[in-house]
Amino acid sequence: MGKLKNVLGNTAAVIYFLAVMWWILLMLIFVPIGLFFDINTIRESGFSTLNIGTAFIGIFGLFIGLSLLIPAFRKMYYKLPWMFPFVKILYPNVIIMSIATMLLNYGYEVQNPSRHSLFFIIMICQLIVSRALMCIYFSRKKVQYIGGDINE
Amino acid sequence: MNNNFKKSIQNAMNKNSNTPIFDTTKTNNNQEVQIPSSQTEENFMPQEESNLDSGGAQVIQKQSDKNKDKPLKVFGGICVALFVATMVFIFSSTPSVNTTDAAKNALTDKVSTSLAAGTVLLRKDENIGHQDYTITHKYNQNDTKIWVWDYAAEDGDYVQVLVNGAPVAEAFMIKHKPVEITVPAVGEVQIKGIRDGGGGITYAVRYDLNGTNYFNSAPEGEFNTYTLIKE
Repeated sequence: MGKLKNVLGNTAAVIYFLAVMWWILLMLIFVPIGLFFDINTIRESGFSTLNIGTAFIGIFGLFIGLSLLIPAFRKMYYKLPWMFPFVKILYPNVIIMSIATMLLNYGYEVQNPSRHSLFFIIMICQLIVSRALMCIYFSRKKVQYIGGDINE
Repeated sequence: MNNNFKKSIQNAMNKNSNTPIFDTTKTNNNQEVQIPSSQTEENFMPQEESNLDSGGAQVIQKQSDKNKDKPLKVFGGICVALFVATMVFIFSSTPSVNTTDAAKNALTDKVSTSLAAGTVLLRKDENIGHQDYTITHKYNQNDTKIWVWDYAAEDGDYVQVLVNGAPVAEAFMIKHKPVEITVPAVGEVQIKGIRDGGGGITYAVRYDLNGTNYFNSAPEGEFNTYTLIKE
């Protein structure tokens, strides 16, 4: 019975990884790059773009959260020990970039050059402060190397 | 028995200072104890103790697995909380489309006195044509307020308000939330389309002086004129 439960759990984890997590992991890399290009577009055009970053925070939050909270899916993190540090570092990165894009979008909602410059400076400050805080947090509380030792 | 057994294991672990470090687990007294991840808990125990109390070892194994899972569960909880927070944010900032008869009439007539400022009539932008209006009123004051908003999709349309050809405010992005601007009660108020975010620049304007909403659209670079005349 226990063995069958194990097999089912592992199968569920493999399916979830191939169907969902694989894409989430890729998007965790490419979404911040896309948001960076959005910032460039806002600066060049002088107009706001859509705030897609918020939707990405939600989507990633849901699927990463499920993968970590459901015990069967959590096995992925033990089989792929790099995955937890990867997710734990890149997800906050997406949040930081999304907030930066939101700030700049807000600044560019009104066509005023001084307002544009002000919000660009605020965005740069937000990026530097957030990244610095992230560095301090991860240097004080290292991301644990998880996995490689579960016998399932 | 169990407490003594745990203590003896902790003592053995603390003594074993030259153990290779792969993983860390925090103990209850916040002391970091090094546990080699390649070894099981049983390998870690003094041999005679492990033979005596294998049930206790299982308990410790479970405790150790729980400790390993803790950061994953905590981070997972934060992720789900962020998902819920973003959904609340997205859905609270997206007003529902008004499908009442008054809204349907407003779409047909392009004018309404019964709807409130900020009413959303369409989910997507639709070209309903653009029109100029002459508003005759008996308003006593020199200035009046107008509210401008996007009655269709919030897709990054920009407009600018001009009075007698001169801008009264900078061009701004129209959203579902109305923007309030003060204009003279007599003269020509023009709403100029600055940028089309897609599907045409759809906007609505409400005049405080007659309590009427006008649902209109302005092509990029062109404007609609509202001529305000006092009776």
